[in-house]
Amino acid sequence: MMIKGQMKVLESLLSLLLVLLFTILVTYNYMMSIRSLDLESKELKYSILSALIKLDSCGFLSNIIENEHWNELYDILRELIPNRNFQLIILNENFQIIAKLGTCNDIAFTISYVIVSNNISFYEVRIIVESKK
Amino acid sequence: MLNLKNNIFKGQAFALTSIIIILFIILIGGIALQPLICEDIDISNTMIINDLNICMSRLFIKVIVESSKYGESTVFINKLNKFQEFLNKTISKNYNLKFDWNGGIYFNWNSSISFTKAFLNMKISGKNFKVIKQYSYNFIVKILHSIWINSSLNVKIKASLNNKPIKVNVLAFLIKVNNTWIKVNSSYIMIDTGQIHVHYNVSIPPTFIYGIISDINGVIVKIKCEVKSA
Repeated sequence: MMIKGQMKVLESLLSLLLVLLFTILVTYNYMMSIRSLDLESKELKYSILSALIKLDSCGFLSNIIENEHWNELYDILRELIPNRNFQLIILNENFQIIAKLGTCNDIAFTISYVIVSNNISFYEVRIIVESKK
Repeated sequence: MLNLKNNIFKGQAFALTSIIIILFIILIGGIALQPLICEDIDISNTMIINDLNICMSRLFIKVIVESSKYGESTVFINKLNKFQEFLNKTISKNYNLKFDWNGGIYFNWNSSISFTKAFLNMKISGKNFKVIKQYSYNFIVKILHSIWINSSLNVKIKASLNNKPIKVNVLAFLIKVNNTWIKVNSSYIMIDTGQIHVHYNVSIPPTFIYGIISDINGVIVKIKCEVKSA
């Protein structure tokens, strides 16, 4: 009688352990799937920022800003972001929008990049990228 | 009756031990899974620090050039304060970063050892990290000798940037003869890496020499020295 009771307790504990184990596994799997969905946006963000840093370090970006060649910058970004809509906004050091190109409805992420021009003015290049449909 | 009590006690002890073992297994499992479910690092913060480093390296030199045109620190301080305000209102909001700076610019001009020195510490703080980047600029111009001998003025000047000899530009070089400043033509000035030689024929001994010298970036230093007569 007593051994039977002990076995029942052990059985219930083992089933509890199994339930807990599966809960952990399902939660982990769910978290990983969310992360992989977000990975594409992260990679895109990384490649845009890398490209901007390379263009800035060789002085190309400050030339574009000084000569106000916004369309040229938009075309470069279009090559980097081929399958999504995005909006390019340039703000000057007085926080005024001096250029606004493209449209974006459902925002996936925003990139902010600061540029110091040769005439010691600073600008923010803001890129708003739309979610993938 | 006693035997039954013993058996109940044994059952309770068995159940308790099982619970402890199961909890121990869950704990070990949790620890083992911990590295896999750790927080994701935001790589864009690293990229933004690179961006700010490019901006600051450029801005630092530009503000030194601009400040040295007037020989005062106002431009340096005002521009960097404005940059801090700009960053904290734009980029910091998007990346949850805080930007701070401290530094200064010093001029010691119109002497035989003249310099334009500047330093800057850039501090970027974010969630769980802090980055401090230091910048320094040390442009020194030293007059090694300035002698008038046999109706000829000989001047030797040494120039260095951050303790390395550099090629400079002489924007102006003047000598004071009979209380009048005379401009020395550039054909009498020889410029080499880290050195400037002036060889000028003048029958009356000059009392002072004065020069405006700039480095490759356009940072200015003004030198002045008495002329020794042999």
